[in-house]
Amino acid sequence: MRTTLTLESDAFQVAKAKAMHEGISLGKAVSELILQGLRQTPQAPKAKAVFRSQGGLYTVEDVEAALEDE
Amino acid sequence: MNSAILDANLLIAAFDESHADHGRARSFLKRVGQFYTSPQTQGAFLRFFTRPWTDHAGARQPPRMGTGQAMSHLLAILCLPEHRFLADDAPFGEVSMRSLSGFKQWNDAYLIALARKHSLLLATLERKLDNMDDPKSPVLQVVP
Repeated sequence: MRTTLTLESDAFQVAKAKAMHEGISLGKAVSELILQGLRQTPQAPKAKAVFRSQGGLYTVEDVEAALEDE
Repeated sequence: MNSAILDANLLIAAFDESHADHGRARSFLKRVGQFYTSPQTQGAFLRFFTRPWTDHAGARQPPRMGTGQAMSHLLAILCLPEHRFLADDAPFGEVSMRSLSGFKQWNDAYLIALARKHSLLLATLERKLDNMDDPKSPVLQVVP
């Protein structure tokens, strides 16, 4: 797929070096770097049954106060 | 490590990433072989998440989640292979009056009695319960 990208200069240098070193096009080098990054940073698996409630961070004291105020 | 009943605060912290002590609670849960909940702690879990609350500026806030959502999260916890159910089967007459100083401590004193009856630990994030335990045969485990 043909598109236009604006790359950070250091990212461009890495991609350019990879392309030159491996004798591939700049586009292929960028594609491979993106896919390589995805493979190397998998999402940490969420522990089972863990969730994130709404309302922001709260403390032991907040829970205590809520349960006592009934 | 022995199996432990989680008090309400620890139960909530262990499964809600919004609790400030979530990391501490998760680490504890990984170390403990099995954990127990009882109707009392399950009820506290549901009540905490489904009640309106007041923020630190004094503004009234809606519940952190709806009733269906809270029940769904609780059911997911109850289905975990490491979870065990413990009935609230100790009469209040078995509750120790040790260091009981007011009405707010009945629930904590009850959970201590329940843990003692079943030879379990009562795991908590709160050091303030320390003086309610019997130092000769302690059942309280404050999560480090």
